Amino acid sequence: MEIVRKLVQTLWVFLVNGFLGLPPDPQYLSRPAQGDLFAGPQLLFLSGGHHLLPTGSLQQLLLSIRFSLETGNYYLGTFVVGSMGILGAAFGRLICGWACPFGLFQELLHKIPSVKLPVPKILTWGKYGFLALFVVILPLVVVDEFGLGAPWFCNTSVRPGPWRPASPCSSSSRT
Amino acid sequence: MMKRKFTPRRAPFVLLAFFLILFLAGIALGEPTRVLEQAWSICLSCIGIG
Repeated sequence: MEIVRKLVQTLWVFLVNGFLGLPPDPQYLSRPAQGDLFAGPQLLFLSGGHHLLPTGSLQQLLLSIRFSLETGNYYLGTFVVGSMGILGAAFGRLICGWACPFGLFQELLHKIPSVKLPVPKILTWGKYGFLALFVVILPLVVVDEFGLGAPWFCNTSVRPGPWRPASPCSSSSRT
Repeated sequence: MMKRKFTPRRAPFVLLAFFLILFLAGIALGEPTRVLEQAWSICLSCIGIG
């Protein structure tokens, strides 16, 4: 069963990252992302941009919420939150174990024989605080003279390297 | 032999309905287009190329 799960995880890595229109398009970086939201990371070298990182998308909507409301657009992040909620309520942690490329990556890293340290208690709850602070509160509250917030989550925690976390994250990250 | 009574949990369905409403509201407000617009361009320096 474990082998089947690994195979399914690997398949998902390619499904959510792969651009099926091979041979690779040299202009792929300028193509818009397509499709729906996906919670896992995207690999740069498999860039198909079929899925978007929901946390990055939510952050992008919230940091420009003042501008959106002023222009009469009510982009409150309901689509993103709804997408995450539907998947979470329907599948729960099944996605983490079977479809998340990050999960696969972490499991492979865990196989490296090394000292394994326990996670401090504070970090088990700290992740929720981090999510609330960097994805919701800071992009909403800390704004520049134009009323636009900064992509705190992408700037502080997502430095892609070979991972392309999501197009919305990469699109307006300020360095 | 007593039969075990199956009682489905209600909370997941309530949650599903709630998030489905949010999802549909987002679509009605045109949010998917906005999300994709934001995904249009990629900051090359952010991904280690530029």
